[in-house]
Amino acid sequence: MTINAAMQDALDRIAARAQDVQRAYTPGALAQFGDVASEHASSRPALNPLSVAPPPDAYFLSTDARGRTVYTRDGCFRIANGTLVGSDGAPVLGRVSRSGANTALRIDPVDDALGRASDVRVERDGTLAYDRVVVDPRSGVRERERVAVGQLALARFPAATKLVAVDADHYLPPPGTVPHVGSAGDGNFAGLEPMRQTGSGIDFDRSLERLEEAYLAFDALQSAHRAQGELGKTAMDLLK
Amino acid sequence: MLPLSAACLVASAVRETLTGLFGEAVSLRLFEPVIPTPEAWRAIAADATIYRVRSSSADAAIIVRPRDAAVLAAAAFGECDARSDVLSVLERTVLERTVRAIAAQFAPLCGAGTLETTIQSDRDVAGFVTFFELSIDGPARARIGVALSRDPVPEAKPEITIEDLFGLPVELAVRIDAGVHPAAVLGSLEPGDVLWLPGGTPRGTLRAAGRPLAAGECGVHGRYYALALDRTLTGRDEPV
Repeated sequence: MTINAAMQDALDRIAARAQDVQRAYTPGALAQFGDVASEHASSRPALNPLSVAPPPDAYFLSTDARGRTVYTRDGCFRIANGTLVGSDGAPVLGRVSRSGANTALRIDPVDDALGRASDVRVERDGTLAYDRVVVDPRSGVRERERVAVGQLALARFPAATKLVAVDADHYLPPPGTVPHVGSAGDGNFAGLEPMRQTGSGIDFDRSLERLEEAYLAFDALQSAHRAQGELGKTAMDLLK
Repeated sequence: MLPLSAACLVASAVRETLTGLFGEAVSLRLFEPVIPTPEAWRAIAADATIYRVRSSSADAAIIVRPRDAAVLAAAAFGECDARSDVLSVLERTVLERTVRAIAAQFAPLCGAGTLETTIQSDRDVAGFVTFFELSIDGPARARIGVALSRDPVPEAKPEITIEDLFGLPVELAVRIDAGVHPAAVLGSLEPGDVLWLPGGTPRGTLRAAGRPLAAGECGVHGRYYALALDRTLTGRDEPV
């Protein structure tokens, strides 16, 4: 059986709908089709002190393998080689100083190498912080000292911007779209929700329904195509 | 492992030294001594300027990372922060003098009196064992790493000479030999009774903290009671 353009379109639609279903439980995933987007992207508690949920419509900044800045709502972070990274292992960007550019947030390499950094966490204002123990030489008393590594950057896009998916939970803006970049609690962005995991922006039930509809559409096209083929064959037999 | 008290001693001395160099009070704390892994040594030495301090009993190294070097040099000029991590020739000279002054405080770690501060840049930290860091909190924020080739061995040396004790006040007592008396006499003693000492000039023993120092005859010299010494005792001797 040959596949015509209409059937190819139907197959592509099934694949796209299937992707939405697959990503329905991926933290921070966005729907490719607006009809399966969740009304309210929820977040749930997480035990990881590096896991944070961003404010609505806000994205974390990261980089992909090609060095491009990509955007994600997945705040399930971890520390790898002293650097704050996302669930895909790519560094998450933030500012080390107020006037500095966005860069990867790194724990002091000596503190990291000597295992001094404890209670590493992302705070409500997006600050990556940790504690270390210092000693007062005069009294010999040990004290816990808070160290702020930097502040996570957040981005927001103009309303109705259709982001392009790079992978399951990373996106690029369309060419020419410039996001507003700031930080949590700076007046433009609300605070982060520490120890929370962002849910996906995809309604699982509706995405399943749409996938089923896509399959039905493909079946209908397939039947029509088969009927058309049989009709042609009958006509040819009559002509013979 | 280097005792924390030894590190505190050096830290306090360095604080005083830096206070003198910077011309204002220096706030300084320290990170506890540790024995870094080879990977940690690499992180400690990465990009740092290392000044080796040679002495007779142990080698030490002062490890200054680029940012800290710039801040220390700036602090010597009364500035709280450095504009650049790249040092000018003048700043490098100032930093080296600062490090020399700090190295002079390592006597408790490297051996008293024999410290040779042959300082040279050296990227090789192989052979060093213990590491601790001094954290300067003000007037500028910088960290200075200290590495030791081995932990200091406790050395038994007379630190206090007999001359140092000459000014100490010593409470003395004289014990007078009261002779032998019947127990019945002792049992009937009452206030107002007079106990006769043995015939002749009574002998007395000069004591300090209960230990006999000298013996002699008790009597009156001028308007004062006095002890005319005729024999010195070693402290263990008892007068005959």
